[in-house]
Amino acid sequence: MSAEGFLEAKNVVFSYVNESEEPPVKNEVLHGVSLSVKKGEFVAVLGHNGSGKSTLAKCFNAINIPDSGTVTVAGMSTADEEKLLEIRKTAGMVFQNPDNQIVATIVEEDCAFALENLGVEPSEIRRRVDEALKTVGMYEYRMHAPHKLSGGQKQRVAIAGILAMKPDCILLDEPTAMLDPRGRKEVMETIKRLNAEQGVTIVLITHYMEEAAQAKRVVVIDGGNILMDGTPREIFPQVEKLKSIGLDVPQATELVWRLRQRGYDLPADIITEEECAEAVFGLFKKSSRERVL
Amino acid sequence: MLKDITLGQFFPGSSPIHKMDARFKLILTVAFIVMLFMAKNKWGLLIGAVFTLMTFLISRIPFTMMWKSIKPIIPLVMFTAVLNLFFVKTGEELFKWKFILITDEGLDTAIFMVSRIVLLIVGSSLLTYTTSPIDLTDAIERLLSPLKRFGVPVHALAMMMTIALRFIPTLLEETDKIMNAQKARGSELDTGSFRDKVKGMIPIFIPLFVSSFRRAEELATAMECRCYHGGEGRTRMKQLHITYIDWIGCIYMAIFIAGVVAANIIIQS
Amino acid sequence: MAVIKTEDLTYVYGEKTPFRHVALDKVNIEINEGEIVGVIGHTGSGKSTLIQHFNGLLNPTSGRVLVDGEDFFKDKKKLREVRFKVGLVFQYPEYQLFEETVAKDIAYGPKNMGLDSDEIDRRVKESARLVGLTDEQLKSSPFDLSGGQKRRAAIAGVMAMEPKVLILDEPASGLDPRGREQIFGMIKQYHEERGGTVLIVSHSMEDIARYADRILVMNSGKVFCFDKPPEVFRRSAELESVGLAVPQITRIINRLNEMGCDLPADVYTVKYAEGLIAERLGAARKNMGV
Repeated sequence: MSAEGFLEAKNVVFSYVNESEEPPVKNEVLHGVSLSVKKGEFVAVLGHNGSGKSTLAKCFNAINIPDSGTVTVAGMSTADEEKLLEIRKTAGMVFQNPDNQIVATIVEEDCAFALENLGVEPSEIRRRVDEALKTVGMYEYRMHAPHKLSGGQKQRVAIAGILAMKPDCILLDEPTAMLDPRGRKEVMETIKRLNAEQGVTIVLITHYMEEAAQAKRVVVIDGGNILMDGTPREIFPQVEKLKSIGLDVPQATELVWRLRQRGYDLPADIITEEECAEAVFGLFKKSSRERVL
Repeated sequence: MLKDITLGQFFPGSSPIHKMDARFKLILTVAFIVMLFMAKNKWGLLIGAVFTLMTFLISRIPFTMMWKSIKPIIPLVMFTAVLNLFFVKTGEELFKWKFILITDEGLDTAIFMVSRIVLLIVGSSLLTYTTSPIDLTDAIERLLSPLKRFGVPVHALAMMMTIALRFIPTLLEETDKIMNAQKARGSELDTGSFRDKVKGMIPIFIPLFVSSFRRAEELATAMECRCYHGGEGRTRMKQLHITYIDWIGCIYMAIFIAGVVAANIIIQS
Repeated sequence: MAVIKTEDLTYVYGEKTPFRHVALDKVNIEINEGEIVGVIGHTGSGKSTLIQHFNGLLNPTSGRVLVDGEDFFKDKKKLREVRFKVGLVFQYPEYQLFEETVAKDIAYGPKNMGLDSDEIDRRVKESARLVGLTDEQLKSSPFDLSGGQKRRAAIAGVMAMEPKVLILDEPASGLDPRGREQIFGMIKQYHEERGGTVLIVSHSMEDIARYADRILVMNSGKVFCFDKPPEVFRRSAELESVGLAVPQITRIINRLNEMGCDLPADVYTVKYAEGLIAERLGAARKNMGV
């Protein structure tokens, strides 16, 4: 298996079918999407609600099987039923609502769920569960009841449940949408650490621009097509284009963009507050130097 | 808050009773219940009472919990007592006023029946006090597993129980939220006629059903993503270990059984 | 006059149990008629407990809540009246929809108020217009609407009660940027047309900063501060120390000030920051010209 195209979607067309209507109504959500994600990448997928971003993520986990086109995970086609468990073990998925993905009444039991399903040896499960819980910082809570945890903690338990399978990739479908700022931070830090320290490939679906700015690559989906694909520095400065499809940009980027519109000389590809402050400071210094001269 | 309720009244601890294998506890509890019904006289029940007290002491469950488990069945206990007290007409007369007649036999039976119910409840509540719901579910699944051969979906049933236990607090909390939301729109839940009350439940039940279905659907997807494919080839992280404590438990129970049987025989002869 | 006033409002969860928790600790605030108040604080700060006192869903452990100068807890009959006076939209309100049609669902509150059908009809139409639902959507089942539309339908259900005070708990949570914009735009328009008092509870300083006249910051059951946005954001360092995320733009300006630029500390919108920086640079240019 080469490092190229660890997750690979080629001309994927997918539609949801509403069976309750007569005749069944077909609603095409993805219109021929192609996307390739390399092993170890941290990709953020942006798009407004209904843009098809979650649908695409579910294709990589073999929950959605494309109408046409192919999706492969580490070379395995999602259409191949024999490979189903192997695919889900390789590319685990974390969902938006932390409550609706925790199965057991005790944190460590929940974390063990996937491994139990895979028929792993009990002692090995124990070892991996402890390790996964330690990785997400929830080991002290291993005997707690999930419903008494905070949103951020629940979501970390859900991540640990996937992590225990030792996946090469984790797909996260708006994992922070229902969390408060503190929980959001907890989850983002966990994700970033997994990517940086353990080389886990991350596909993060979000509509928080600050989160997307922390990724190494940003893919923008609109109307079931890939609209933009590049580094955060390449994507966010396109403020008008992003706003036109109902997305936002980090405030740092917006400030720089607005100042540039006024004719001030600033680098366009600013995405963090540090860079923004530096750049504006540079501007002040230059103008005061001019003043002195 | 509804969220804070504890389910299954599990009382964590590290007593020998807590450490026993849930399967053994379950079987021994059943044996205990059977023996209570086998006891033919008050001596048998007295042994049962001593046995229950001792077990409570060993388990280090506070005695207040014993009262807590009896409290909900007080009406039943009273009913049994009254029934036996007034309707057993044989034996020597103790008290008579108009049509009310209380005999010594009636009193005896009333005490006997009441003690039996109380012992039954207190004894079996020890099982739920010392065993976590998940261990209990697990034990039931394993004990029933021979039934799989007859097509009983044992694993599915156990899974359902686990999920129910997991989601009861979540759904209670949700009910709380929906009730508050409808109250804020002026619904009157606690006033009006019975019909009004039933009608008042609709704005709560429909959203609750809708959200439960949504949760179920999402949970099913999440379970599939974690490679769930039924009970086949499944292993468990927690192995139920049979230790010497379990065998001691069996001996302990055997002594009790012997005591009851002896009481039955000796008094008879 | 203050439309809502609290006097030493204290609320304790689980009194006399090991879980005892003081959710509100001697809160004294006054909310004026016609203002938009943003309520901010992290989870567990007491903000949700506080707003549930305003329409009588929770009963103070001690202290008083006055709505329109009246202490409604004294009189059980008044309790319901208060619920109509202070409309409360909970977080994820779309989960409370239950009727066959959107119109019927919106009518639920007004119906409970005992209004006649003409009036109910008028209110349903009026609030549907305010939240941007079409006549056709009014006739459809609430469960056929999209997520954002459901949310708006639920908000319309509370607006239709024409409360004096409208409280919204995290009205935009879980929505994408466009959805957020729509919801807040709609609230703003409602406020302009009706002129009522609006309370918005949110985690997002960015959103609150843009719409609120005053901001109430709660921290561990106490009022941390209650002031106009510039005054609140002037204390951004303190806000961050209690775990609240101030807008990124505020942090950028703070950083510039640390570097030695002498900018006002009360910046909380990008537009304001832009103007400020441009003015500073422009001033420099003008000086040069002189």
